Amino acid sequence: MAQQPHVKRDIWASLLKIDRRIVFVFIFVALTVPFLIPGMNVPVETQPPAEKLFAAIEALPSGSDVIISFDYGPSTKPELSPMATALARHCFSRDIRIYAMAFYLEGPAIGEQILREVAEEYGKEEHVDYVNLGYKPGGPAAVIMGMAAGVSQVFPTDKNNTPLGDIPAMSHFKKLSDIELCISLSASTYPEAWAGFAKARVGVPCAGGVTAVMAADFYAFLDTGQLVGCLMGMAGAAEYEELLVSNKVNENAYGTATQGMASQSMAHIVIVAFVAIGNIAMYMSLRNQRRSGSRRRKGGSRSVNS
Amino acid sequence: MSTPELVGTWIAALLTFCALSFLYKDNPFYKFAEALFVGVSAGYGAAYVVHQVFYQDVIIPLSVCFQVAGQEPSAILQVINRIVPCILGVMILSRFIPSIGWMSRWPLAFIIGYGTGFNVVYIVQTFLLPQIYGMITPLVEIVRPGEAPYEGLTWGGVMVLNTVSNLVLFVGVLSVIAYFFFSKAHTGSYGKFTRFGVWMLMLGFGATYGNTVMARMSLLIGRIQFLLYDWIEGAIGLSLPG
Repeated sequence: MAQQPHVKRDIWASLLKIDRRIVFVFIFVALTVPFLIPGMNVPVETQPPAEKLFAAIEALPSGSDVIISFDYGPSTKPELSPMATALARHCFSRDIRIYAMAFYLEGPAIGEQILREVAEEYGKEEHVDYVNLGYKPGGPAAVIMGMAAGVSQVFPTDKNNTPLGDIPAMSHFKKLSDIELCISLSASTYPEAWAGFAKARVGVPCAGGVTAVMAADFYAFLDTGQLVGCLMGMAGAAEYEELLVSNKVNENAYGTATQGMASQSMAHIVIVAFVAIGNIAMYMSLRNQRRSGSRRRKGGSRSVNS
Repeated sequence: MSTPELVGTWIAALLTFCALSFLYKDNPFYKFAEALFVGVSAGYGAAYVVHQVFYQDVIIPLSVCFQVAGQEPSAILQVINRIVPCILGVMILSRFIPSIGWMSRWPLAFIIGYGTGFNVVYIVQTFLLPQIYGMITPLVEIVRPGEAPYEGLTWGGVMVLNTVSNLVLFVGVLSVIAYFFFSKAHTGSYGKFTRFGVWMLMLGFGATYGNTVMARMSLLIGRIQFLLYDWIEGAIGLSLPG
């Protein structure tokens, strides 16, 4: 009986020293299992930032012109590419022309793959319904303000070196003010730059699609109206897919983002469980230490008195 | 799946395993994947910039300018517009030769001067004025006739939740600014106000941390989707439940 507190303390202490690889295994299983169980989906509730962006595109008349800036690389594809696919579907379904560009080296290749696939779905043609202008270094200030003066000054050709004069769609896009909406899909702060130059100086409405890491920073830009809408992380992409389906824009719009939300939820439950276990174990371990300490002091004082 | 796609998928899957093997412990497979990634990224970047930037923005315009230089006087100006940035760019490389390294300061001075001047206006227009304006107005939101119906809780024509949210934002911003004001001791009622600012900061950090966890999970989900659907189903040919 006298050994019991000692055993309890060991259990809590061993929980605190749990090998991190065991946590990795739990996370991996939680993320993988939902993909292997048929019909395991979680409902996606749409939020105002995604709804506002949907409404902004919905309000554009047919034949409008939209820039999608692919300001990200492969490292953030799982979060941002589903957004690009959903936005391209929405634009093409409303006969809105898309002009793709990038401040990231890898952006044009990612954009080309997505636009080609969605264009095939809707029977759209490159150079008529969409143009991939490619990557341009120099930072957003120089590029965006250069485009405000004239697109051909910044992008003399498209990504595949076709002169802009030979591209029919470019007759609608001579300078930035011809554009109805700029959307920056970014793993960084590029939507801020779009809001700062395209919206503040040229007056073109801007929107963003950002990774979840950046999400908290962009609520301020939504409140001020500097961004008309914003998709935030994989959840934002899933919300946009839900909006496309629920508004009957595309009934097959559920993609990798919606698919991933069940995994996301499972992983969050596991993480919360580990955080709770860790905190309880820490509390119990400290309590046991205090108790055993006071017991030792009492025992010590008794022996001195005796 | 075509042969190049098949080979690409297998290479991507093997490199994914190499990268994930770091979770167990550091090992040569992880180091190989890391080195390969750095090398390929640098090579891709260099080739892309030469092809997309140097060729498009320097070689083609200069060749056109030289062709029409005799007929069009403005072509000379175009040549200067392209040549001057190139010279400034080459001057940056002079840092590699210590005896003429001073030359790199000129283009750097140009970049810093241009960047500072341009960004002062950008910061004020993007971060300062609109954010202050957005924080203050409207502090109390009132249901106005003729506007879209408001479905939330109202009290005497005031949108209760929106107004509370605006007040929390307003007081929160002021308290955080007060916390970073170090010319006055954080004691008494002022100290309590700055303490509230610390709570606001903690809430902000908590939200950012939660979002970061979500983002990292999303990236792993992307890899798992690739391994399950592109590699196991697409390349290997096994069918998975779900």
